[in-house]
Amino acid sequence: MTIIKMFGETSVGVVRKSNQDSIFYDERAQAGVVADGIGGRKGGDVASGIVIQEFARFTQGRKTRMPAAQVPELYAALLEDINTKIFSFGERYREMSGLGTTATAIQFIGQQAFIPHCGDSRAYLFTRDHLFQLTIDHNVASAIHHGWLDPSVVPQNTKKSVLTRGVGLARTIEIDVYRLPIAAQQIFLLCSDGLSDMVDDRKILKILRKNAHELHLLPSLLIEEACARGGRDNITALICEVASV
Amino acid sequence: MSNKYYLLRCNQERFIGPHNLSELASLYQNKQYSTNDEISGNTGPWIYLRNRDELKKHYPEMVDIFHDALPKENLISAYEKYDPLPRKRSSSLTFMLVTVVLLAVAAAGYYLYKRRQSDALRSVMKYHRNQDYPRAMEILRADAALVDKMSASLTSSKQWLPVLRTFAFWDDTRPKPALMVAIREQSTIKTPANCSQSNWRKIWRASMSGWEELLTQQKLVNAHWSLLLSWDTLWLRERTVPQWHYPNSYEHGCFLSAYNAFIGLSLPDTPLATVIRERIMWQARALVSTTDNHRTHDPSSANPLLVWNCMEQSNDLKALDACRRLLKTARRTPLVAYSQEKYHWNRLRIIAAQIRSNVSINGSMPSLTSSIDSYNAIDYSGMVGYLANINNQKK
Repeated sequence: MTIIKMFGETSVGVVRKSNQDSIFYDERAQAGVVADGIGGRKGGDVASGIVIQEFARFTQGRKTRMPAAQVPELYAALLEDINTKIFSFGERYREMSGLGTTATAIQFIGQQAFIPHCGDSRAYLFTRDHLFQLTIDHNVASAIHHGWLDPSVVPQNTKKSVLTRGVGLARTIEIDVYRLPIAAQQIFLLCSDGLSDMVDDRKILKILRKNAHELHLLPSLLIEEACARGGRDNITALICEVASV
Repeated sequence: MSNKYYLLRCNQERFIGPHNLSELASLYQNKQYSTNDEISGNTGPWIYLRNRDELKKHYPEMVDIFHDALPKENLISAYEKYDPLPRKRSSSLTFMLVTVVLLAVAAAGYYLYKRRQSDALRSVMKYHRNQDYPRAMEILRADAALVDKMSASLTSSKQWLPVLRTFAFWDDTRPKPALMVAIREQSTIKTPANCSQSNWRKIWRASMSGWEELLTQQKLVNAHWSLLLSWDTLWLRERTVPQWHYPNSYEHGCFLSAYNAFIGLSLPDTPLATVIRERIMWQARALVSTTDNHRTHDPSSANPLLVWNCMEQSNDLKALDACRRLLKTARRTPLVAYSQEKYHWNRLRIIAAQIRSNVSINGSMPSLTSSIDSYNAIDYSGMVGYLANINNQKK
């Protein structure tokens, strides 16, 4: 039987006045999500809050196990619904126009992990002393790197961190749903860019290596490290350990 | 052996690994991934395996594995400079010896191949029987010859039929349309012979001209897409059909294809599209859970398709009646008339469930409940009749 342990934390960081990140996780449902409300925009916390609320309702309201084959389409449908909700929210309340959020989730089913993802929050896998970034950032920098965006068409002043995909930013949404087989002792880290922008992958790896036996401390240790390096954005970290398969 | 591990990302959705170098080489030889996939090392970037320059820059140790697969200009210099030796004329004895050796090697290779194929088929059967469909399908995806072999056996034996049915809908962009037809056999209601996602994409694109007729004029539309929307979700979910494991019927598989095709389309954001989307999303959710309460019906809406959602969500007669009341404001259209029939069989469903729950309390009920013990036993003639009625209409 698959047993998943989860620990998560979110922090306003050092510079920002409010926390627009949201986090939800449920060990029993073996699911969790990190959402980062679009920085600076009014309503970012509302948008990430809607994601959390809907994910909770979706995963906790389920009494039967989700068939693995249908996970991608179910989560795609869920995020599409959430997208519609957030987008119409922005249309209804003009002062919140343009609100949006990222969403990076994880759902364990049997011996697989599914990672629905939209935006630039990240999912990492820590296993055998190695760290792998699993998700592709949906931002301008990543789109140029993958050759999906011609740099010549990007206006000069555009920040490379601008999202190319997000939840609630447009009427339609495209999401990625990754899947991978899981093994005991693997650790998944889901985090907002407040962590990954401030702490590079090698440092994250170092912290995970050193504290893998004290999972409950990991989210706060990672957040502390991000704050120590400036903490310019809100910071959220969710740790999921595959205790047994 | 190297203690460095790598993770593979296939089609930007599926991960393999982590594996060390020798495991990767072996997996590559077994065609578990291709040079179109990406690789990442510890805290390293993701690089397409076909991108030799980047690969050499970040993971130079990987280049050797892919010599044969990389484009010629990407071959490393040692291979480019290979200078073949001049040919020698073989003596007839040498020629015979070489021929014998080659034949022996070929025979051994053929024997090993057949044996490996049998082992693979045994694993497929085992995984499929244990409902571990992902593993069974992984094996079939990796070796198209296995699918061909199973398909060929269909004329003499139905042994592989459930597996092929799962395969056809698991990744239905791969199987040939002929396989889709072969696994279909008899469908109880009108369904496309080719229920692949690609076919459904065409159906959905063509459907937009009929949305107005169905949703605004509320006429019966004789088209696969409108029939699919009218399918009773519980009928789809609860039915068991012999030789179908997952999906549980051709209609179920067909629905999954239609749904997947639908969500992949960029549709106009109009009220009509919203109704269609609400209906198919509800059907998809209800297919996987008996307790899904994610979506709550908007009671202000009287569109029959949304009322169907409302009825199918109802677990007691009071809630069901509330759904039906939404129809009172609507015109008496063919779609409303059909919705009344839907009301009646949903009523029957709820009563059947109530009777079943009483069985544990009252032992005298079994003979009655056995006749309505499953949704199979509920008379869905209303739905089938409606579908037949539309089907018989002149186009």
